[in-house]
Amino acid sequence: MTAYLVYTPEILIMISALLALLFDVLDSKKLAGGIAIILNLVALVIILGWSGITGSILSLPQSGGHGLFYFSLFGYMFQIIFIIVTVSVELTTLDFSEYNGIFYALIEFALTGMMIVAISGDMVILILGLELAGISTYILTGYIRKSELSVEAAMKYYIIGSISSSLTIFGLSILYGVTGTTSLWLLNLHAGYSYIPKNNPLLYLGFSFIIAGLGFKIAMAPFHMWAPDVYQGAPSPVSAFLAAGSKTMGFMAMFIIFLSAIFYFAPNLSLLFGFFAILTMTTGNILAIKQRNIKRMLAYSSIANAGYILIAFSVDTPLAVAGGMFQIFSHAIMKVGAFIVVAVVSVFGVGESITDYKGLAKEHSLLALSFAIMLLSLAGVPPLMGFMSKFVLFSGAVQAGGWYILLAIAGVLNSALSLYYYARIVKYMYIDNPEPGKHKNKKISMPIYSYISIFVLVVIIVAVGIYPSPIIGYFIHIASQYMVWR
Amino acid sequence: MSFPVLSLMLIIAFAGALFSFMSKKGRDIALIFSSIDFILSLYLMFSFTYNTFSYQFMEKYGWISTPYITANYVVGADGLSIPLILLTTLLVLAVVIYSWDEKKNPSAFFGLIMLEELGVLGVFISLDFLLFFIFWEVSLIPMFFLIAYWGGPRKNYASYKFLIYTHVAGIIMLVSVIAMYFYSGATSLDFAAIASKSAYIAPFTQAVIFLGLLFGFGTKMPIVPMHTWLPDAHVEAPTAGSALLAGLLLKMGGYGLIRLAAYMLPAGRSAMTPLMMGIGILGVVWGAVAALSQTDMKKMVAYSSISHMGLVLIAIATWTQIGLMGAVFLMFAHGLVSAVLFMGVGSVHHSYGTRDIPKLGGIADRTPMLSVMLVIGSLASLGLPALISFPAEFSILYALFSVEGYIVAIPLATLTIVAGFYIWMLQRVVFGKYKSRYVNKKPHDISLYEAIGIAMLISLIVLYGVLPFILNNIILSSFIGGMV
Repeated sequence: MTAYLVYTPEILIMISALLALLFDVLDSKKLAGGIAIILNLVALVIILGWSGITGSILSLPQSGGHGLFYFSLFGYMFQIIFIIVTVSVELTTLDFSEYNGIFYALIEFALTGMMIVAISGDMVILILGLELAGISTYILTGYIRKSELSVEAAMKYYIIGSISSSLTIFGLSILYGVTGTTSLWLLNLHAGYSYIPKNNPLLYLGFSFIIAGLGFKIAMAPFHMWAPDVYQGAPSPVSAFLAAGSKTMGFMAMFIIFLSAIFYFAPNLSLLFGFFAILTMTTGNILAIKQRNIKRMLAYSSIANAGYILIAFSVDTPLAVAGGMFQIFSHAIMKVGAFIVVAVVSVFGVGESITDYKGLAKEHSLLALSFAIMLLSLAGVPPLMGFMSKFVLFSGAVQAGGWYILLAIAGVLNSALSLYYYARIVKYMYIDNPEPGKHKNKKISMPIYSYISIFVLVVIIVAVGIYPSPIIGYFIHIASQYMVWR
Repeated sequence: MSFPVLSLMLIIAFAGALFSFMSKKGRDIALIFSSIDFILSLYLMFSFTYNTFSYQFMEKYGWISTPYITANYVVGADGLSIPLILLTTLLVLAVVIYSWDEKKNPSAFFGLIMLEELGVLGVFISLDFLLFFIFWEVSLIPMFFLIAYWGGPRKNYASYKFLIYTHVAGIIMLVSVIAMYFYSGATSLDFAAIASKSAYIAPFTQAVIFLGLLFGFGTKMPIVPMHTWLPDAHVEAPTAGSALLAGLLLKMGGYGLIRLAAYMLPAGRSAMTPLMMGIGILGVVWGAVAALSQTDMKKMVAYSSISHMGLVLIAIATWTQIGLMGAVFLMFAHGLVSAVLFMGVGSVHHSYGTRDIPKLGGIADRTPMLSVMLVIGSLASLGLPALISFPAEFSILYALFSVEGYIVAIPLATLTIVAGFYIWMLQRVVFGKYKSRYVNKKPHDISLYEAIGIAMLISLIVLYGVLPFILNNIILSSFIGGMV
């Protein structure tokens, strides 16, 4: 029995999903959301304990394999990100009447899938988690059934998502066919053995399918086209979940597959990932400048961030991988915060066009301040978290030397480019006057839960920015451990 | 560890910004807090120990310590930074007093000025690169807002141009310093730690890194191919913004170039000396000639800044004791003089409704006090002896002559152009026949607050012009002696 205690967080989250379904029948939305949040936080505390950040309440081996699963600090770290993102989104939706119990059930199922991917030690489990998270998010995207945009986004996301899943599965099946095992850590362990062929061209075919499949998930150029449409059409809290949660899951799957399992077969992928990194960040930033819709702009900025993170795959040194993980973490926090602000200001009658944000600071100074902090952090302005993560990531590229420095230079130039469109929103909010007829101050109840989640996220952004030492150290620790494993 | 005066200055600037934003009486708060900072910088000046080749008023606390990246909170001052710290606090105080009657959203205006002080002070006192870079970027955002909100008709374009140019410059500098950090194998991002190892980097790598730093700091200074943001930013910025921009932000570039680039990378510096020399001389000539052809007084002063910064670059390129002393001195002098000129031009614009030289004439008739200040500012800028620029320019030209010989003729000849456009401007604007057709029917002379702000700076211009050794001794006795 005690052996199953390692699955406590996943089981807790699964239970919360089922409870949410139950409370949906009883039509008690607050209870469904509240219990989901509490169970998520319990799971978070347990995981924080296991990953050695706080004292642990369940003493269990910190890492090790159980065949289908593999427990490591790496997986726990991503689970922490997923839970923070989910809890923020759930807190926000408590304020909105259109989300009922089924919403929390779906989002908890998606979270379960992500948690499973984080601890997967086998291709089958990995695919299981990806699919569970994927299918739940397809439904979430179309959650507002009366909105045409939402339904369109859901269809688009469903079609693209299922194609990408099938590509991934096909790639993994080729990998299985060549190597004869589905176990990711056996692949790594046995990489040196002669029964695994190194130069089989089929392997490269498999890699291409996996890169394309997961590339869709992380919105890597040229597989990024779906992201703006879907993020724009989905309800804002769901966009937050997609941009911060789903994308992080894609990156985690790539980390597991490329940087650990098949690392030994694929020494030549460095150049490829470098190419994709520069292509993705440049595409994202250039297209973001043209956007007039705030959610599309955030979607393109998310694509640009995927480009920065891909640098870690190309450079592949402990510092760069640590920087990549840090960037994933900070991007998730900042992006979920930004989308939550977008969701909250819509309550006050502010539309989705970026010009609707003109003069926001005059009426909602706290919201405008939080949004400004998040946007400037996304742009990499010190001393905020987004600067520190980019600093570590680009330092990793510079440290590696050689042509990797080009990646760092491309990264910083892109980040300078991005400052333009982030600063534009900040300028709109603080300097320009509101357009006539906008900002009808409707009499509504204060979205208090959203304010709590925004406040917590802003505190994380500022605190990590000012005193990043522990978190950088933690990511470097994970990255080093991770590199040893392989 | 003694009294942490430098950190206190930062805290006061930050508190001033915070309270100004929150309170209705931003200007009172800004005045109080910037006065305290000014008094503290006077304390620094007078308790400074001469003839020690080390940083003084040091404070050091651990900040980031991880396996690959180590950075500390280190602040300190030496002969290079003390004059610039004094310049910062003085200029901010003068600007606060000068802009006393600002009507448009004054709390935010004074809050941003205090935030600017925080950034610039931080740049001049931090001795750790990460800290330095944070303050570098902090100084950027308030100036963007000052231009974008209080600026002239083309403020949109000018503010973004300023932001993007200086931000790109900043991050190229960031990458260069990270490279310097990793390739030197320094134990932390401390200036001292990097400097102790950076000289052993391979010469070619040094040259490449130096080029990156020259680009980064040079854009801020600005040196000639990257200078185009400056006239736009100056023309559109409000008077206070122009004074701070020319007086302080440009100095950050020169300061960084001396402390981070030229000092830490000797081989890179000697490889790039001809380039710096060439760009410097080009800048001197370009700035002067461009200034000569301007009709907008503000643009003319902006181009003269480019010319003066070219001289600073030449001085750094000579890398002699007298040259560096001249560079620091000229930065200090230019900070005061350009602020006086921008304030004077701002008052002209305020009184007569235009800055266009052909439309002005004989303003000494109606606004005598303003005219006196404009004349003193112009004379100081063109390097009249007994005013502050003269000793600075003299030592730079002397250093150039001692290193490169007769090449000195080019900047020397250009100084006549500088004198030319200033005197010509004075002749057309201040003297001559009074033109009566102005936008304002009854031009008023400079207000008391504006006069106090300008007079504070002018008194120092005269003081240091007559007794330059007060400043020379600080610069020469501590910093230069340890460096060259």
